[in-house]
Amino acid sequence: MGTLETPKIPPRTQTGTRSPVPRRDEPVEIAKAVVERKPYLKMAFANPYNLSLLLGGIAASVLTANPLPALVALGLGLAAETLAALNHNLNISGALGILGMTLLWDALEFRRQQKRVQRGHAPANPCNPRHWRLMSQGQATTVDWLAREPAGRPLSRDEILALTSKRQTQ
Amino acid sequence: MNWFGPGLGALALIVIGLGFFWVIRGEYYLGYLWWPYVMGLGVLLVAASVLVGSAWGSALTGIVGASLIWGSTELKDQAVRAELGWYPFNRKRKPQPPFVEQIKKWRAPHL
Repeated sequence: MGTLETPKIPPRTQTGTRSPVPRRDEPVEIAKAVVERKPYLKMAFANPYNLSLLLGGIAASVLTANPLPALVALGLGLAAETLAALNHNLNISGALGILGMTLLWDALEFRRQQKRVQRGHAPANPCNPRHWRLMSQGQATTVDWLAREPAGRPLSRDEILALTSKRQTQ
Repeated sequence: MNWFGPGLGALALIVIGLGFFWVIRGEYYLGYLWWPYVMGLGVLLVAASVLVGSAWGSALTGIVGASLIWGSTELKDQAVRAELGWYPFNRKRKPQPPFVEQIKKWRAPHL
C-alpha cells in the first residue's frame, strides 16, 4: 500500500492461443482486428459456457414440460450477459447486463407462474390449451384475486367462495 | 472483459429479490397504506441518480429507486394476498401513515 509498483503483466502463453477478447493494453489495431474476426453476436451465442447452460436449460425445460418460453428467455438472457461482458460502452453494457439478468429471472418465473395458475393464485387463460386442460381438471380459475381493494381483515371461506362465484359470473 | 454490465445485472437481481422480502415484511408490519411514501422515496431516488457522479453509484441508486416504485404498487396486492390466507395476516394494529384519510380516498396502484 502506498508504494509505486509497476503492474505485473502475465507472460503470454507459448501455445499460440489468444484470448478472444483483447486486453486493454494491446494496440487498438490488434483489438479491432480480433473483434472484427469474431463478431459479438457469434461470441454471445456460440461459446461453450452458453451452449452448456442452454443444454442444461433444455433438459430442465423437458422435465418441467414447459419448454419454449423458458428456453427463449434463458438463451436471450445468456446472450445479453455475454454481450454485456464484451461491450466496453458503460451504458450499453449496463443495460444489457440488467436486461440479461431479468430475462434469466423470467426463465424461472415461467415455471413459477405455471404453479400459480395451477394453485388458482393467478388467473388462467381459457384460450391457452395448457390452462384449459388445468381448468377442465378443476386445478385453475379465471378469477383475478388481486383485482380488488383490501378489506382490512382476513376473508372467511364463505366470503372467498362468494367472491369466486361473483367473479366467474361477471 | 467489462464486468460493469453483468455485475450491475447481478446487483439488480439482488435488489429485486430484496424487493419481494421488504414488500411482504413491510405490508405485514406497516400495512399497504404507506404506498405513497414508498413511491415518493423511489421517485426521489431515481431523480437523485442523475446527480451521482460514479457510474456504479448512479446505476444502483436508479435501480433501488425503480424497485421501490415497483414495491409500492405491490403493497396493495400483498395486503389482498394476506387477506386470502396466502400469506400470514397481521391482526395487530398497524401504524397509520400521515394523511391516512386522504390516502384512503386514492386508489392504490396495481400493476
